[in-house]
Amino acid sequence: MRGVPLDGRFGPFGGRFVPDTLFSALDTLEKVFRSVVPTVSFRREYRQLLSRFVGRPTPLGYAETLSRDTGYHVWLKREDLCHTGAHKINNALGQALLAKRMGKQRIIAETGAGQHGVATATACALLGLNCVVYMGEEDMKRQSPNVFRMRYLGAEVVPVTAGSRTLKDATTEAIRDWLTTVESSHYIIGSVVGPHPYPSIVRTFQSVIGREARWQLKRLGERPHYVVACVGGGSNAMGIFHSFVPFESVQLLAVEAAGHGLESGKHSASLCRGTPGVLHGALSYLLQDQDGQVALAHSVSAGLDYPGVGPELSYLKSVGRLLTCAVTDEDALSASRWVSMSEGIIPALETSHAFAALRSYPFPKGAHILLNVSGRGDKDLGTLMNA
Amino acid sequence: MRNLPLGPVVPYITLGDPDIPSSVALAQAMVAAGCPVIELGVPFSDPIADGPVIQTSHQRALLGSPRPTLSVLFDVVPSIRAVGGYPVAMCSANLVLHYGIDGFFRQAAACQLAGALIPDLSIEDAAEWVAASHTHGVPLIWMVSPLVSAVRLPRIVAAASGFIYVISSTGTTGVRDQLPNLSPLIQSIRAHSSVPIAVGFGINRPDQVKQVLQVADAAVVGSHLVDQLMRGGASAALEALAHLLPPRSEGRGMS
Repeated sequence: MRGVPLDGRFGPFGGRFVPDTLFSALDTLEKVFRSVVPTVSFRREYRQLLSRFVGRPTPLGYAETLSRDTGYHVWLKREDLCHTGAHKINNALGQALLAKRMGKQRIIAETGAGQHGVATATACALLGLNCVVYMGEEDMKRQSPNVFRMRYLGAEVVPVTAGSRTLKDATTEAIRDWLTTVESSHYIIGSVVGPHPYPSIVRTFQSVIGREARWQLKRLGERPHYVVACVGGGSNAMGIFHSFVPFESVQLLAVEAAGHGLESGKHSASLCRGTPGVLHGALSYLLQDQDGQVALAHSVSAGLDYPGVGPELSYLKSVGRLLTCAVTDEDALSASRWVSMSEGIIPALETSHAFAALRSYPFPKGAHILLNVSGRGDKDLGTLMNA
Repeated sequence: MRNLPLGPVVPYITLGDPDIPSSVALAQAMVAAGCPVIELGVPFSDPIADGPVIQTSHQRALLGSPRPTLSVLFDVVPSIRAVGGYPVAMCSANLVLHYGIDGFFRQAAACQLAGALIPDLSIEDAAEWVAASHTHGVPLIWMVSPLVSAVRLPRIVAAASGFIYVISSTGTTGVRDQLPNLSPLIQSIRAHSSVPIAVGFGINRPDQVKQVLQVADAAVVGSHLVDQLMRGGASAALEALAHLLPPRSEGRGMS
């Protein structure tokens, strides 16, 4: 497990900003994670689930039309073809297996777009665990098909009515549940955020994306100049970036949600516009006001609508290893149509932000680009119909 | 740093709920009622350790104008000190980080804030905070839960000043029917330290206060008072507090 920090810090970022009640649980989780995940038996069980249940390895494909339209060479890592339609299942299954090893029968999760909730509900159904998913009321409206899917899979979906009624508030509520039920429940956090060891755990389970992509490109004799991914909390981005971090010749581009525009104040671009702050148990770049109150994020895509971002991404940005840009709601929607019509792939609105960067980011002519298609867009049809 | 003179009950109120002058007046009245140490919550948008009652109290306070910031806290502390009170600030780590750790403790010392309790700060991440607390002589108050590990407890107790806040059970703040047996935890704290101990989370009845006072120095009451304040205003909150306070001779009083 390369790069799992002993002190839970990525440079100054990360840490464990949580009440004492959660410490023993986090310690136990870290101990189990470090001792169990590297074992042959765990790896075999996890790998078998990834291949037989999730459908890994996911394909890597050359995007003919996008490449012709842009003048770049664009390769797509197809996480949208994972079972349940997004990369989230990689982490949900890994953590559900960990929960079983810890003897915990009840699973808590938060969800924004609903993809992590669906993935967790799916993993719990498969492995016979009880599942409670917290979801903001606003997101339940935006992503109603996913609410139905979670309930159909047997999960309990709890509407969250506090604050902005989106991912931030769902996460706060899930942490609260865990504070109360910590001895019997495991909290499966969906992104590379939260107190140590969560950012490391989620990245470890998602790093299969970049490992596969690197190997798939290598067999084709290819090496990307850029790896591109959308960033909300950052799990699909860290998943595909991780294998490429040691190679300085490969640039990593994080595409955030500019919402109504970076100057409008209604966006979710924590890496581009945030300052260091603590939310949900870790220090990271954070959108906050002049008093240190957490700002309300905005994005047309529920999965990017989060005012914080993972501590490891914050660190990579702070040391200059990460490029960042942001894409507006409008450009993301337009990219969604472009990719649908030219490649026959309806991408998730989150992923559409990464695609939009192909049109807005000044890559050099002829650049070789690996782009993570983090999820499919079926869940967004309602938004697309009204756009 | 001195131990704080805990009364039998440490009341919690959110600064700015319903407005700043009312919070100050209520704190002063609580001091007069026999509770010198008052927990003054500085509202935060995402308080993870608090239950729904205190969270909505924070949300109400944040809608007020002027908004109750740390600067406002520092402005109002002297008027509570003036009536013999010892206000302790309870605020999320991000508010202090944003203000600046050293600046926060310097200002806290200047206005004679009696202590600071940061529920989401961990002893492992606190070196700079503990140093600033010592430099400026403002106690940093630590919370300990029944789930505390044998490794952490001595570290927390060694850093403790002002008082130690024992969390009565897992979960967030809020009213509960039953309190667990806290004697073993409190005994192991007392074995290492003479800092007074307050027990909080879930206390809303006189018999619970009495139960707590058999093993600890004070009971922290938060959600119950905040709830009464919301329903019936300051008079209801003060009445609820009076109902919880033991007759003066029964309390353990000054430590």
